Amino acid sequence: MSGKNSKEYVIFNGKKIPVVEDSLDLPNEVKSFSEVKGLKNLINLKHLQYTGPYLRKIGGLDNLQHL
Amino acid sequence: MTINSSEHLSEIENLDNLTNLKILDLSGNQLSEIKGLEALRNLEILRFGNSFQWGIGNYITKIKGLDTLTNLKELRFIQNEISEIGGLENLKKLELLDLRGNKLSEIKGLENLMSLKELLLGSNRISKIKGLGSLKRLETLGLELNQIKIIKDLEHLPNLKEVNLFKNPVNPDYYIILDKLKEKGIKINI
Repeated sequence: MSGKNSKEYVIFNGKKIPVVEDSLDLPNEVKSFSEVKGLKNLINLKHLQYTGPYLRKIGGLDNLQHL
Repeated sequence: MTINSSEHLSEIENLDNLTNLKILDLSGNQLSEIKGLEALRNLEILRFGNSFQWGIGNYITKIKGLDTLTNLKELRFIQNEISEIGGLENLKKLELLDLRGNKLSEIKGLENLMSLKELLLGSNRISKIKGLGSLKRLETLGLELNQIKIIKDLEHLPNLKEVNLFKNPVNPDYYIILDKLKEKGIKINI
């Protein structure tokens, strides 16, 4: 679950990125959401943020019905 | 959801299942076309602006593909390539429209935006204020850095509070209208 004290996280390049207050802030280095392991399991995630220059395609978000 | 600043992202796709999405910020990418948003019927905020962080911007030329987004309240296209206002007919809940820094030469296509409170059209090529008569809820009108010479309709907007006409070559014949608006307590920046 992704409540305020969530222990949910994803893995990118071997690093853990936690969900904080229902929100996931992805690193700028992400080129595709498919590189982010565990993203599809965050079915209760409310906010997704990516503000980097490298993303090439939007995809892999089908399970995130609570965004 | 915010996905912005990518210099490689040129297409909107794979969002069809996000039917509960309320905020979508796609500023600062490389998008030239609006598509793939039809299913996002609960969207309230949609942004296609520029990225000040990375200096990257979209270059959308036409407003389209928004007909089903009837819950939109905020729509922003800062610094794109839009030359004509259109495609907004169904957005009856829209409260804020931001088209600053585009290529508009005319105000039109706003007739149905009955909820609009803030209209930001600065840094375009507009020469005439018109086509605003039906926007009875309009409070803020931004037209700085345009080519405004002629002013019409403003006296018929009962909720108007602020008009920005900074750096416009307003014809002195229309100063009388602006003076009347000032007398009503409307803030005029010229």
